[in-house]
Amino acid sequence: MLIRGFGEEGQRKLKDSTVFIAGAGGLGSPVTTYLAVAGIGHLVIADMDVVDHSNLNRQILHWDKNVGDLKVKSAEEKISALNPSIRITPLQEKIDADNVFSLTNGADLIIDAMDNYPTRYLLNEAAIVHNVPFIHASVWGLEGRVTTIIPGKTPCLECIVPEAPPKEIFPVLGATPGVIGTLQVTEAIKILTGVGKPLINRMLIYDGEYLEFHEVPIERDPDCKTCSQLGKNEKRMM
Amino acid sequence: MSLKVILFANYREIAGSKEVLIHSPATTVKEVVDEVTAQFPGLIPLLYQEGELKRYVNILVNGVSIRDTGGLSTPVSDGNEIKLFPPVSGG
Repeated sequence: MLIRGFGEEGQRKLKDSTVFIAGAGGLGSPVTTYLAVAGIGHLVIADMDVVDHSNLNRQILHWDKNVGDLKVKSAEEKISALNPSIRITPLQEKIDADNVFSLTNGADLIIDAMDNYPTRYLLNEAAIVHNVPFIHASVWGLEGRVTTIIPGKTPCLECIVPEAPPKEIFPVLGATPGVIGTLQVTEAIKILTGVGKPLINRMLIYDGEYLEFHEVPIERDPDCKTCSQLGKNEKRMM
Repeated sequence: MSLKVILFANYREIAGSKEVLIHSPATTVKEVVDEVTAQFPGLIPLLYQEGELKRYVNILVNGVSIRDTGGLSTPVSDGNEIKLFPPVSGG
């Protein structure tokens, strides 16, 4: 990679990395695609769903011919053709409290490509337990949010969103998760290679309707039930 | 006094516009939000639960979160820009 600061060493770091991608949908599609072409050595992709026709406006890993297929199978097929040099582990699983820690074990980084907060909170806990970065994102319409969570150093997801908003059927323009997913990949690659400065202690808000970016400053909640006991470089014991 | 309130995601859908201009003697964030909800009552259940601001609602006054400046009692002054962000869940 010719970009300043990467070089062969940066590429080697990416090759030696394992990234857990939670969700192979709107965010998961660009996230998986760009991580694969960046040469991340091992991608673990978890999704329980099958491809629905309504997914095709944004879930670009899945094509019309894949309607009815498992999303992880469809994703593996495309990604292995895109970059046959990397390892892909497709997990057709519902992420729950019983399996989240084992599924994410061994990952150097967790990417939130989910569509609901209960699962996001589980991934947030897993990131804390494994002491790995967690790149959170969400989308709605022409809007998106993204922030990088470093356990013990930044607010965790429960500091930022202390209770889940009501479950909703969300509208989304296909390009919105494209924008946000590629920002997540930018963050992931920066963290894995040590290049640049990550999006920490602030939530980036993308307003596609007016093509504006805003930032919300975020802070650790000293009373957070999930991360308040964490100190610098401290692993939480479960 | 005039203030600009900027709405995001489903708040914007309820109001039908990105910005709401408030001309009033409001002195706190609560009074400004009250002005907005008086115009768009559909926002009330999205912002409040049992009279309290929902914990996941983010409000900034000139880019500073009200969480550390007194919550809804945070003072406002002429020309302030107030942003209301809900969390969004899609992925």
